[in-house]
Amino acid sequence: MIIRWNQKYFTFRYLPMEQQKAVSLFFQGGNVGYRRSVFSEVGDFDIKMRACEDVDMGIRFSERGSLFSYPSAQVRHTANFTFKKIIQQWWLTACYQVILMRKISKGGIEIFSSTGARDPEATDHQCWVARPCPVTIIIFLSSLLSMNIGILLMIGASLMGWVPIFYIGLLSTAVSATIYLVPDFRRKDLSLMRRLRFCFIRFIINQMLLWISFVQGLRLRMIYVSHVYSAV
Amino acid sequence: MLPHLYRSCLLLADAVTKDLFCIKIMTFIPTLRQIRCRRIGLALSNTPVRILFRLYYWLSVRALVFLLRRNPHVIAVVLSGSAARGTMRYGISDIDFFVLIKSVEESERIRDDIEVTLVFLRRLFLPLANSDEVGILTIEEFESTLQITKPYLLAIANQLRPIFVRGDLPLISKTLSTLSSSLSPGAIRLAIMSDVWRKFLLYLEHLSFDETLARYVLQRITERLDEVVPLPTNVRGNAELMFSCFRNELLSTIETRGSMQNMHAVIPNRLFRETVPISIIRAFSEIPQSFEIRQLDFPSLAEIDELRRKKNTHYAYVGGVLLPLLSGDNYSILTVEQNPLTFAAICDDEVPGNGNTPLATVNRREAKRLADGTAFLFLNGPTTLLFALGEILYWLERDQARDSERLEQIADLQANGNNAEACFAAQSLLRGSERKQLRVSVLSPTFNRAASLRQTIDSLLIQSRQPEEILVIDNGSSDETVALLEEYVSSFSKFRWVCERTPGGVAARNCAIQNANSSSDVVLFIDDDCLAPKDWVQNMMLPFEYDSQVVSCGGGISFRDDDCTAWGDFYRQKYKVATAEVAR
Repeated sequence: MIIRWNQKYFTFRYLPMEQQKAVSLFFQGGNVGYRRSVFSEVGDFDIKMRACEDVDMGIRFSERGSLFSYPSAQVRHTANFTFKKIIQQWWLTACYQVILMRKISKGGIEIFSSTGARDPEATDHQCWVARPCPVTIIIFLSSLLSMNIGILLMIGASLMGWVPIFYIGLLSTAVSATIYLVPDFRRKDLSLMRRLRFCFIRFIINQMLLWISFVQGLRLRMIYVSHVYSAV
Repeated sequence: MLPHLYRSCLLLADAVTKDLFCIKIMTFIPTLRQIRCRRIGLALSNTPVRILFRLYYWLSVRALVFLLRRNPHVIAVVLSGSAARGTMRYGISDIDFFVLIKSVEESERIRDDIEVTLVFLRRLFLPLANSDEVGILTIEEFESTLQITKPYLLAIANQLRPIFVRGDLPLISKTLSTLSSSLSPGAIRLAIMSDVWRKFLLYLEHLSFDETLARYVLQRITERLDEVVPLPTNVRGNAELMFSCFRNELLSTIETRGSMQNMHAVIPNRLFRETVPISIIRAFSEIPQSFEIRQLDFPSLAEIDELRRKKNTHYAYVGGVLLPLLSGDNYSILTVEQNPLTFAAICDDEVPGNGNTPLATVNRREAKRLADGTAFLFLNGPTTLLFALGEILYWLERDQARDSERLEQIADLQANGNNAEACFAAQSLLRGSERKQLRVSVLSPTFNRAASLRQTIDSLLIQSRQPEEILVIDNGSSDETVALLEEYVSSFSKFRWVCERTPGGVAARNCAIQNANSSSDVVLFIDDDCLAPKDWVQNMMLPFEYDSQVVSCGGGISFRDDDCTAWGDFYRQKYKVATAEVAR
C-alpha cells in the first residue's frame, strides 16, 4: 500500500527554516502551544515587551526546533472590539514589533514579500534579499507600501509641478489600491456596508502600522517597513 | 559589450527565478573568451506566483530568450517546468526540460553548438556538463525523456565523457553485485541527472506520492522498457517482474559488449538523496536563497570539510564540479563521511580501498587519454529505468514492511474524515517514528472578562480530548472573575486558577508557565475571549505528538466579529448542552 492523502482537505505545514523569522511574526499568543521543556532553554516571556511577546517567544522557540503553523486549528474571538480598542492594540503592536525586529535582526538589508498564499492569517512571507549593510533595513513589500509611495509621489509632484510624475503616482496608487482592496470586496459573506467597514478599518490599521513602525524604526536607527495584515 | 549583455541576461534570469545566484556565477565568466568556452544554459523554475507575477515571468522569459537569441555565444535556454501548470501556461507540454528553439534554421545552428553547463533546480545547482574533457551529470537522460530534443541532445551527449564517480550507491552494488568480481571499481562511473526521477523522488520524499503518479511513472517505464527490451505480456504491470526481466537484459547487454575492464557503466544520480533525510527533503526547496560559491583547486577532504563546518560557503567549484556543501543543524548534503567515494573523485586525497580514479588526476593527466581510449557504454536510459523501478520497489517494500495495523489505522482515520490526523500519522509512519502521548495543560490569562471567560472555559471543558489541566491566571480582576473561577474550581477537578498581581499579560503568561502542572509536556495558551472548537486541543496536540522535533505550534485566530457573534451564539447553544452532559 502506498500511503496517500489529499492535501486539499486541510492546510498544514512546517515553517521553512529560512522563513521562520518572518513567519514567526504571525504566531499569536491567543492560540499557541509550546513544548514545555524548551522553556528551560529559552527562558520566560520578556517582561519588557508590552506587546509582541508571543512573537518574541516564537522566534526563540524557532531556534530550538521546528515551528508548526496550523491555521486550521482555529479559535474565534468573541469579544466585540471597539474601534478604540483596536487602535490601542495595533498601536502597541506597531511599536513593539519594531523593537522586536531590532532585537532579533542581525543587521543588513532584508526584504520580504508575501508568497501569495491565501491563508487568512497571511503567514507566508519569503525573504527575497538578505545582504549585509551598515544600516539595518527591513522591508516587507506590499501593495500598501506601493500605494503610499504612489501617494508620496503625487504629493511631491504636485508641489514641484511635475505633471508626468503626478500621473505616474496616480496610476501607481490606483493599481496598488485595487490590488489591496479587491480581496476585501470579494468577500461574499459580508454585506456591502460591512465590507466597506472592514476595508476602512483594515486600511486605517495597516496605515497606522506602517507609519508608526516606520517612525519607531527611525527612532531605533533602522528603516522598517511593516507587513500588511490581511485580517484585523 | 558582450559581457554586459550577458550580465543583463543573467540578472534578468535572476529576477525571474527570484534568486541572486547569478551574480556569483558571473565571477566565472568575466571575459568574452571564457563565455565562448563555457556557455551557460539557464534552467528557470516556475514558481507558484500571482497572476501579475506570472505575466511578469512570462514577459521576462520572453525577453530573456530574445536577448539570448541575439547573443551568438549564448544559445541554450533550458526551461524547467517543475510545475505542470507553469509549463502548460507557457505552451510547453508536460515535459521536464525544454530547449527553447524557435525555428528550424536556428535549431540547425544551435544543434551543433548547444552546451548546457548548469541547471538550477530547487535552488540547487546541478552541473550537467563542463568542458571538453569532463562531463558531469550528462544530459543523456534527456534523450530518453524528451523526444522533441532528441537529435540535439544526442549531439551533445556524444561530446560528453562522464567520469564523475559515485560508486557509493547501495543500488549500484545491489544491481551490479554479480559483476563486482570482474568489473573494476574504477569502471563504474556515473553521470546522469534525470529531472523526471528527481521529481518523482521529491514527490516521494514530500510524502505526497500518490497512486496516480505511481501509475504514470510505471506506465512511462513500461513504454520505455518496450523500446529497449520487449517485455512479455505477463510481465507488464508487475513492477517486480519487470525489474527482474530488465535487469537480466541489462546485464547481458553489458556482457556482450566486450571486456569488462573497459566498460564504464553510467548510473543515474540519486540527487544526493542518500545523504538527505526525509525531514530535510521537506525543506529542500528552502535551502539558502543566495549562494556563496568558492572556486578551489583540488583541495583536500579536510579543506572541504572545514568549508562545510564554517557554513559560509554553499558550493565549492572543484575540478569542474559544483559541489553542494549545504549544511544545517539537522542536515548536510554530500558529506565526506557519507560520500567518501564522491569526494575521493573530486579531491586529491586517496580513500583507502577505493579503486576509483580521482577526478583531479584524471583532469590533470589522463582525461583525454581515458576518454579516447575507453569504450564507454552509456546505459543512461535503461539504467534509469532500472533505477526507477528499484525506487518504486523500494518504496513499495518499505510501505509493506510497515506495521500493517498502523496502516489500517491511517486508512480508518481517512475513512472517518480525520484527514488531519491521518496525514500526521502517515507522515510519522514514513518517518519511522511512533506517536507519543503527551500531557497537556491549557493556560488562559484573564483580566476583567468574566463573561467571555465563562464561554472560553466552557468550550475547553467539552473538548473531544480533555486536557490534563485547565489553568486560568487572574491578573487582578476587579469584576466577578474570581467568583466565576471559584465556581469552576468547585465543579471540575482539573480546573485550577492562580492570581498574578503584577499587571500585564506577559507577567500572567510567565506565571502560567511557572504554575502549570509540572508533569505537562505541552502547554497551550488560549485567550480569555476565545472560543475553542471541540477538536482544538486534539488538533493542536497532533504536531507535538507525531513529531518530536516540533517545539511550537501556532493555530489560527479569527477576528471576524461580524459573523463571530452569530457563530458564538450558535456555539454557545451547543456548549450549554454539552457542558451539562459533562457535568452529569
